Amino acid sequence: MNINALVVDDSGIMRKLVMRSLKEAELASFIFTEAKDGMEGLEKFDPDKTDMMFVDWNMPNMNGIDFIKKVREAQKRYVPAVMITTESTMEKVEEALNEAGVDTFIVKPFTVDVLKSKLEPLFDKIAAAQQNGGGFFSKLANKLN
Amino acid sequence: MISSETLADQMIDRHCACITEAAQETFASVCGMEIAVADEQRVETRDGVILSVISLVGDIEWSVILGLPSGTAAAAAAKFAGFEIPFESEDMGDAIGELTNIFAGLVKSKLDATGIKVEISLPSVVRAKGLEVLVQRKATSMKIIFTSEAGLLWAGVVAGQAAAGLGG
Repeated sequence: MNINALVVDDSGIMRKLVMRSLKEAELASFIFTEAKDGMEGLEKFDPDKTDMMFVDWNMPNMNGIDFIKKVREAQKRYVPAVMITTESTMEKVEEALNEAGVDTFIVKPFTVDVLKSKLEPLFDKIAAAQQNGGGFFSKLANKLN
Repeated sequence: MISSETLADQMIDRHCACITEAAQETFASVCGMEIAVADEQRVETRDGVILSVISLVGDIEWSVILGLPSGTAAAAAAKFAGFEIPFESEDMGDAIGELTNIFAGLVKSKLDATGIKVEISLPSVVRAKGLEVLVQRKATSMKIIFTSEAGLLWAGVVAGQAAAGLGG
C-alpha cells in the first residue's frame, strides 16, 4: 500500500526519526511531506492526496491540536491523525482524542514495535478511505471519528 | 511563617528524585546511555557547551535545564539520531532541544503522579563556550552533575516563588 504521510514537527531531527522509524516498521510504502509547524502543515495538507498525518503537539505558530482541528474541517475523506508527543497525562490524551479527533497517541521516546502496534489498526481505515475517495463510507468514518 | 524561598527549596528537595530519574530515563531510552550522579562539582565548558531550557508552569513554576559539553552533546545526539551531528550545526540544537522536551515531559508526568499539574513550554537552546548559568537572586536552584560513557553533563531546575507551597 502506498501512503502519502504528512509529518508535522518543529524538530527536523524528530521528523527524520519518525520517517526512518516508519520505513523500518515496513507497514507500507510511505511518501513523506514534511512541515515544521501547524501553519506550514495546513499549506502542505492536500485533501486529495494526504492519507495520514503524524503530528507533534507542542509547536510554535500553531500547535498540533489546532492543526488537526483545521484539517478535520478541510478534509474530503478521513485522514487518520497520529499524535507523537511527550504529553502522556490522561487529561491531555482525552483532550486530544475528544476535541481534535486524534486516532492514536505515541509517546516519545518510542520504538519501532510500538509504532507498529499503534498504526496497524489504522490501515484498514486508510484503505477504505483510499478506495472510496470522498464517498459515503469515508464520510461516515469521518462522522464517526 | 515559612518564606516562599524556603518553600521553593522544599519543593525542589522533595522532587529532586524525579529530576534525577527523568534525566536517567531520558538518556537511557533515547540515547541508550547510562548516566549516574557524579561526584564532580563543576563541568568544563571551555570547548563549548549546549544548554537547553524548558519552563514548567502551573501549580509550580520551574525551569528545567539540560547542559551538555560539546563531546557529550555530540555523542548523545549521534546516539539519538542514529547519525553524526556536528556540534556547530543547527541539527545539534534540534536534537538537544528534543532531548530536553522528552526530559521535561517525564518530569511533568512524574509531578502529575504526585498531584502537581503543569504545562511545558517549547525548548530554548543556547550554544556557547565557557557558559555560566546565573540564577536570579530570589530563585532557588539545583544542579545535578551526571557522568556517562561520553563525558559529564548536568540537569538542573530553577524554581520561582509563585505557588511554591503547593502540592507534593
